[in-house]
Amino acid sequence: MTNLSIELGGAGKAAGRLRRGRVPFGVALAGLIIAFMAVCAVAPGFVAPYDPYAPDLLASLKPPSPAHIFGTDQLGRDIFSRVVHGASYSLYIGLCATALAVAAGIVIGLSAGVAGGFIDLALMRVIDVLLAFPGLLMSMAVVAFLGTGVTNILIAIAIASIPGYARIVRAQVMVVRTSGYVEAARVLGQPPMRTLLRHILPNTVGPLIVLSTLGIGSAILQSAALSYLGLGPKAPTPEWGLMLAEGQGYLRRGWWVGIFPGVFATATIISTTVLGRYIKALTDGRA
Amino acid sequence: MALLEVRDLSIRFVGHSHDEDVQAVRGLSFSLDAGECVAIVGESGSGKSATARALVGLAGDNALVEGSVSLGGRELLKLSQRDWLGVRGRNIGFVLQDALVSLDPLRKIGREVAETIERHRLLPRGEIKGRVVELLTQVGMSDAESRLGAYAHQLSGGLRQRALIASALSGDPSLLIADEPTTALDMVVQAQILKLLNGMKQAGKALLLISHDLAVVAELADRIIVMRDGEAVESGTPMQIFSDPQHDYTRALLAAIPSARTRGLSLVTGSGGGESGDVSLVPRVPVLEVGEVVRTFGKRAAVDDVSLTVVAGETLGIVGASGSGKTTLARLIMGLEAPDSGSVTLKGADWSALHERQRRPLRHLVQLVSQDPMSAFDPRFTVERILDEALEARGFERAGWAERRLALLRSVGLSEMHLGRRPRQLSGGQRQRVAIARALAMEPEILVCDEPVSALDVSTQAQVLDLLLDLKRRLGLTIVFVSHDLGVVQHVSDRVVVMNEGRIVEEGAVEEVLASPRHEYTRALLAAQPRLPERMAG
Repeated sequence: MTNLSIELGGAGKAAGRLRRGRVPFGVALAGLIIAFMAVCAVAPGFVAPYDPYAPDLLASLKPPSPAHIFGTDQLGRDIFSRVVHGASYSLYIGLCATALAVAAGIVIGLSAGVAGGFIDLALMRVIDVLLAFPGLLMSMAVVAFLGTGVTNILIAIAIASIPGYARIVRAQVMVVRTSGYVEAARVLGQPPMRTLLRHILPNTVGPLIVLSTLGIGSAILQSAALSYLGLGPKAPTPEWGLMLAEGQGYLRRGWWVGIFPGVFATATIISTTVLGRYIKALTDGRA
Repeated sequence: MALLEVRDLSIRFVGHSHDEDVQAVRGLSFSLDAGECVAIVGESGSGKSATARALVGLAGDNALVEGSVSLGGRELLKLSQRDWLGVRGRNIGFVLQDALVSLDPLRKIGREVAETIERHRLLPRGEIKGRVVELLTQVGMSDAESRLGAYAHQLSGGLRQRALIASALSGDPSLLIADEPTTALDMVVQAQILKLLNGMKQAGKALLLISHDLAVVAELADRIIVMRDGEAVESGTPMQIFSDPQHDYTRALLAAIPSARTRGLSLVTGSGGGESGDVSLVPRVPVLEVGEVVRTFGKRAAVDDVSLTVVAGETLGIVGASGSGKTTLARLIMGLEAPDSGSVTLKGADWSALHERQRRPLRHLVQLVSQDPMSAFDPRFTVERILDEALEARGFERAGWAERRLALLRSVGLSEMHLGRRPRQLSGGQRQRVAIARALAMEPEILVCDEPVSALDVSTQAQVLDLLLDLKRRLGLTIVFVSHDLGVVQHVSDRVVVMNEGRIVEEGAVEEVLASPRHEYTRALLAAQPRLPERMAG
């Protein structure tokens, strides 16, 4: 009897070691970072101790201190407050550009995949041409056409990401269209339009939504890059890419001016990517 | 001491919490000697595959394996992952069910078979190719040298399985474990593979065979272990198991094997299902006529000049090996393929010539039950929505759906507790029941069943076959039943059509065709059918 209980105890311990289902540390950290960024974006006044626009020339280029934890910039503005306020621009552009690109990608991919034939051929060749340009170059070209500003770089980034999504949607439609359940709907005598809306669309969009979380990170990166190049919002807007560009000139006298916006941007981009991958792995495992 | 000694083997799969833990195998013991074959038989979930995987150290990261497994006196369960590498392939060869999945799609067959030899440095480099050719020839691959450069997808199912066996043999292991080695194959090829495995046994290999089908292992095994819910419920020689089964479960498994003898009887209870509905008394009204239909894919004629008639209320069996065109024929009947020439006539009207728009309102007349119901359901849908889609298509008033849903589920042996489930939360048998319920929701006159039970294990197959026959009796359905399994076709059909290479080679009443086959191919099919020891006849 004693023997048995010892054995059971041993098994229990080993079972504990094997037990799965905990969220990995990196993913939890990424979640916390994104949650913090979301709070910054929605209620920056709640987090930021100072007005991001208020200059204080007497306190310009002060290194990090208890009063200004990220230091101050050349005009004496609190960098931490500016970085916090900057979150809303990046998240706004990242989310909206991705949503816009996904929506357009669905329309194009679905039309091509369902219609087939000439429409498919024509749409996909256009997409191929768009894909031939690197994303950043593409968005720069669009900005050159539309002009600078937050809304315009948002549109530019969205246009540059459409081809990728359209291709994925089309490929997925091809798979779903020949699936057993679409055939089953046909056997039941369901009209094709109903099958399209009820089976093909949802089963195509599901995997895409997951994939698009990965796209948000790169959209944020692109928005920072465009702003850094001066194509985004104008000074004194506290946009990360713009702040990075401004800080560049002061790297010798005040490294903190450029470093902290960069750290925030990097942390956000990596975190969205980590979370996106985790969500994708979860849904893949379930399928 | 025997070559392989398994003592008190227990396997537990550890889930997210204690509630999700699964005890897959409990206290299993057996031994296996060189030149001997032990077969483990059971339905899915019985723990037979978990056992096979544990014996090669591949039970999985979340598996807790306890007990003792010794091979040639060496304890295997204590091996490190590193030590396992020296054992797998070298001391134990492992053959899996589906060779297409198990073979690397990007590697040529020759390299695949050579891998174990290279990995264990069994031969000098220069001699490897010769050995690979020898191995492939040994497993009955004709013209082995020219096939070294072929990829897995370029080979037929039978050749792939042979290549897989050759690679399992390449390290000259003393023990060969084969997990459902013939389940994915049609009957003729299955017979060849079983013969090959028998040859391995004669040559002195110890063979551990895992299968859900008692009939398949009957000829090969020296001892059979019947497993259920992780425990061995019975073991003995095939003669003992077949002629004097001790356990109820073994008896049920034996009774579940469909054959000519079981016609008109329930496979689950063994009793007659009431009025057998003699077709000869029913007026012979043709409901479906296939006339000189040809359908080609590329240059190959999948269906070549096929004509047949299906009479109301009968079950027509279509039997043939894979690639014989029987599935294409079923799709032509369903109006899912258009014939190149010839016509399909449904209730006297030309069905194949209709435009899809005209065919749609008539589609409810012919419904399909396919082999793999998992793919025939939208993965996001619950059983409720799956049935609703059919009820909607048939044009029933929404108010009556709830009632109809329940009636349908009950008629296929399910209940309202299944309404909220999604396909992946159902067992294979339950999924097939839902597929049948959906077809019935359309109130069809003809039910086309394309290999409806070939993905199911024997006991589940018995339940589904019983259900189909019961529905046929109650609803007067006409059934077109496509299968590669002669036993199943004999069990369900009134008339049978034998197809080979796109053509009908023989046709007639089941008793006549299968008792005195005229065509050579039918004879070959019959000869390939796995046979139970004779006493079963009694």
